[in-house]
Amino acid sequence: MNNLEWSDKIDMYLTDKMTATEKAQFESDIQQSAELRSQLEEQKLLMEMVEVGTLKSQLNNIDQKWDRLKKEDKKLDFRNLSIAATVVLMIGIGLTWWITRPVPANDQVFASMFEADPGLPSRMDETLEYEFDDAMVDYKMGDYSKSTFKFLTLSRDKIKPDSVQFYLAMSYLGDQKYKQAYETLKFYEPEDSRLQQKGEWYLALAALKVDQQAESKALLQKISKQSDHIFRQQAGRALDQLEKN
Amino acid sequence: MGSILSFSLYKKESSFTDHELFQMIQNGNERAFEYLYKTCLPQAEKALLIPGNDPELLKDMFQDAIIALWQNIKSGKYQVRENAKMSTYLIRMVQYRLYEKVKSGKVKYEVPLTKDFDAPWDSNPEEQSHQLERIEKLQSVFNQLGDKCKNLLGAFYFEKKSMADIAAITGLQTASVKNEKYRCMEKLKSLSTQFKINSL
Repeated sequence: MNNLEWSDKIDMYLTDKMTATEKAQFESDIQQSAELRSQLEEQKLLMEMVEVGTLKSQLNNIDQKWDRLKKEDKKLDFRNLSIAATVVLMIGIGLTWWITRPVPANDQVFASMFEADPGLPSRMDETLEYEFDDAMVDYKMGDYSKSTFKFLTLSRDKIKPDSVQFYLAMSYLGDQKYKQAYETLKFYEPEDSRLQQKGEWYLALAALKVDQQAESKALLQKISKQSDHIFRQQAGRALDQLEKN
Repeated sequence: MGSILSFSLYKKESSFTDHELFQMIQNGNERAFEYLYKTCLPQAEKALLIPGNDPELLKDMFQDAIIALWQNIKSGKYQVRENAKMSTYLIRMVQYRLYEKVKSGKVKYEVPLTKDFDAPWDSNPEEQSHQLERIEKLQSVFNQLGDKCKNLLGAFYFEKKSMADIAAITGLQTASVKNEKYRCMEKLKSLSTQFKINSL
C-alpha cells in the first residue's frame, strides 16, 4: 500500500467511515506497526490543525459580519460640524416629539404585555424535522424575516401545520408585521389546546396593533374567564390597562 | 428613530438554552458560534475590557475560547451544568488565559479580577490555558498554508464534505482532488515539523 492509500485509510478511520470489520482490521494493523501508529498520531494532529484553523477563519468571518452591521448602524455621517449640529438638532426635535407625543392606548398595552414566545427546542440533527428546526433557529436568533420565509414555505408543504402556523404568526409579530400576524392568527385552529390558548392570546395582542380594540377586548374577556387558560392573568391585566386608558 | 425605539420596546427576544447550543455545536451548526459571538462577546467585553486594554486581543482570545469549547464538547470534556453557564465558562477561560499571558510577560493587559475568578472551576484552569496555547500554535502553522490548501482541507476535515462534493465545487476530477489534498497534507506536515509542532 502506498503513502496516499495509507493516508486515505487513516482518514477513513479518523472520520469514522470504516465498517466494523475494516475498523477491527485497521486497529489490529496499528497494534502491529509502530510506523503506522506514528502516522496515525501525525495525521490526527494535522486534522486538528485544519479544524482549528478553519473554525478560526469562520469566527473571523462572523466578526467581520458583526463589525459591518455595527458600522451600518452608525451610518450618520458627521463629515463636518454644521451637518453634525443639524443632525443633533433634528434628533433632539424628533426625540422631544417622540417622548411627548400621545401614545395610543392600544400600543401602550401591547408594549407592556407582549413577550415573544420562547420557541421550541432546536435539535438540528438529521431528522425529518430538520427544516422546521432550521426555521426555529432563525426565529430564536431574532432573524424574523428569514424565519417568516421558512415557516411560509413549510406551511405550503403542510409540515407540522399547527406549530408552523403559530410560529409564522410569531415571526410576523417579531418583524412588526402586525396585519399579517393578525390575519394568520384569526384563522388559526390548532388541535392542541395549549397552542390554541397561545393563539388566542397573541391574536388579542395583534388585534390591538391593527386597531381592532373591540375584538381584542372580547377575546381578552373570554380568556380571563377561563380558569385553565395559560394567559388568564395576563388577559386580566391587559383588560385593566385598556379600561384605565 | 421611531421604529428603532418601538423595536426595542416590543422585542423581548427569545434565546437558546445552553442545552440547545450544546446540541447545535455537537451537530456542527455554525449558527451556534454566531449566537455565542453575538451574545457572549459583549459580556466578555463588559467584564474584561477596561480603558487601555486592546479590544482586538480580547476578541482573539474569545475566538480561541470558542474553539476550545467546541473541542471540549466534541471530546465530551464539557457538559452542560445547571449552575455553570456556557457564557461564564467562556469568559473565565479567556480571563485565565489573559492572566497567564500577562504573568509570563507576553502581553500587556490589565485583567480585571472579578469575584468569579477564584471560584472553583469545573476543570483545571491550567489545563484549559494550555489548551488555548495549543490552539494558538496550531493556527499559526495552519495560517502558513496557501488559501487553496486551506479551503480544500477545511472543506474535507471541518465541513466533512466528500471528495466528490469538493470535486463538484472546484470543477476538478475526484482523483485530482485526492492528489491535491494529499499534497496539501504533506505541505502541512512539513510546516508542522518546521515549527516543531509535533512536541505539543
